[in-house]
Amino acid sequence: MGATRTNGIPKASDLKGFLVSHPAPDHSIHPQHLHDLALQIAHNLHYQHGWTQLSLHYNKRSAESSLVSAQSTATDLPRPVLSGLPPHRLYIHPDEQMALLQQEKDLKDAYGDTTAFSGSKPEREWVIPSHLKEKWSLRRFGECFNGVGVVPPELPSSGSSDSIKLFEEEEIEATQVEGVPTNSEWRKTKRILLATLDDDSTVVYYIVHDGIVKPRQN
Amino acid sequence: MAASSSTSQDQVASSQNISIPFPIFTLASKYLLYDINTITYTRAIHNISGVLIGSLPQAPQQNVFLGIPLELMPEEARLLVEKGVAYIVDDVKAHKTGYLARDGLEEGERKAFQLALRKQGQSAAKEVNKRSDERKKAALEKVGLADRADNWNDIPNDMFSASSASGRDGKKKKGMRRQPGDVTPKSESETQSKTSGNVTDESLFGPPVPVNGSTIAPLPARKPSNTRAEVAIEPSAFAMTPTTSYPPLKAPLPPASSSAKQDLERLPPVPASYSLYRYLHERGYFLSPGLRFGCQYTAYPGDPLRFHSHFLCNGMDWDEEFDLLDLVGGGRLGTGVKKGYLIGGQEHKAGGEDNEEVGGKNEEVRAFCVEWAGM
Repeated sequence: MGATRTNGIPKASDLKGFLVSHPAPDHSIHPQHLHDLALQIAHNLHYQHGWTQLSLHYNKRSAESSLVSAQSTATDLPRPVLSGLPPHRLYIHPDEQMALLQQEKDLKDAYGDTTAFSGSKPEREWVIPSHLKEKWSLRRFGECFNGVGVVPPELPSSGSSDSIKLFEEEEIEATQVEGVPTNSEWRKTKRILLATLDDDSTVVYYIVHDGIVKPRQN
Repeated sequence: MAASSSTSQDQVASSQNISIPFPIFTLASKYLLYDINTITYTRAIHNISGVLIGSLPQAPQQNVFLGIPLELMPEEARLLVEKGVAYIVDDVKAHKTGYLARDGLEEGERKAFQLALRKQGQSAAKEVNKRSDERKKAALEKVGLADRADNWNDIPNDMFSASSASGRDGKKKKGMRRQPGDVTPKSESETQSKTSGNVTDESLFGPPVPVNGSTIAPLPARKPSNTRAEVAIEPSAFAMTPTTSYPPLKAPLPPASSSAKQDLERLPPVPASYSLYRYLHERGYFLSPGLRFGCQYTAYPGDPLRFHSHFLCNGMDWDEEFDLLDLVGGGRLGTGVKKGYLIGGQEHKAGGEDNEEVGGKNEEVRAFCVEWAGM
């Protein structure tokens, strides 16, 4: 529709254009609707929540897939998954928060002000797209967690064979990249951001931990 | 379990006079503990707090300060039985066999117990009678003179009203006729109604009507006792409900350990969420029923008297499907009350062959915690 636009039909939405301009790669094994779902979530994350460095991860269709499927089931992604960098730190474990507060207090005691205190830096997060109409089960969560690592990989420079860079952004300043910790000492268990889309294009975000993680004291 | 912890467990058990295994009584598919020492023991040693459900008969509406018995969730009862520290006793069956069956209470013992109960009931009835008489006398002395002054006619007061309890009235009038000048009829009927009301308050369940041939037998508490020649009539005993079953009965002994299959049958039936319950319990969490947060269990990191709960838990089968709306609702509610929403269940891995390699690891419980992301 968007490609064969006529004078009588209004211009396709920005989201539609985004979907069209990012077709699923030929070697992706995921169905089209899951790919589009992931794109819509990515669109929402980028434009509504200011996320950057978003990339889409998917499973390659490979010639030997039938042979290795027995071993690789544990690490296969059940659906296209996003990773990206939120504008602020999305999740701080309560113990880390205690440590940060202590750090801030120590700085204040030592120098009298907290301007030197940098606080927590944003970390890359996994995002699992889902739709409210879907039924989920514990098995699905298990599969999602089996498919992702503890920390998402850094954004590939030009896209690799199993991930796509979704937004063209200006070159990030080197200092900012340095500030992003690749592997925080507090980040031990896997966590994902479950993005749930509704028909009215509302998206809600929930953090899901793999295992028992004590709640934050907001 | 480590040796040190099991010895400390035994020490606590012996210091509190608990014999391990202890009985858990099941009644109307509830699991109950009646012994305060056992309750303390399960809480201190086994991280099981249960719910106190005992209320006072006169204040059944107040539910803030409840006492024993303690109700256990089926999961809690199951866990205690699986650990070998408890066994299940069917309370109804135990009473029937203990009291009525031949191998239960002996004939002499039963007679003695019944006699003791009857004596208890009689003394209670006597006490009540004595108190009501004293009250009556005091009331009569207070109003007696004043009433006599304006007692211009001699007609008993209850002749003006249609009385239905003719038997009682007849007896009363007879009593008056015997000693007409003693007390005025009016005051008598007044106090009579007053005291009889009091008596019915005290003895909620009236004494059984004594069988003495007459069809209209006066209740002993209502007998006209204004007669100065106080006839020492033995009041019939109140029906007493024994407050303990053990004694007089002997608590059923733990079943002798027989085949594993039979042991399995004795375990209390539990919902599918039991595996999650056990998983969290093994990790030191106290679990209590989660109705007030709309979940199955609320998990406390320590004793609920010391800690706020951390999680609202829902257990389910590995392949049980649920709406994402439930997850959103649970996650949002949990975050709103500074808790995490935890779902979990026993993991069933696909493929039967690699199960044996990992040595039963495929039956591990997995849990996921959900928190609102704040965006």
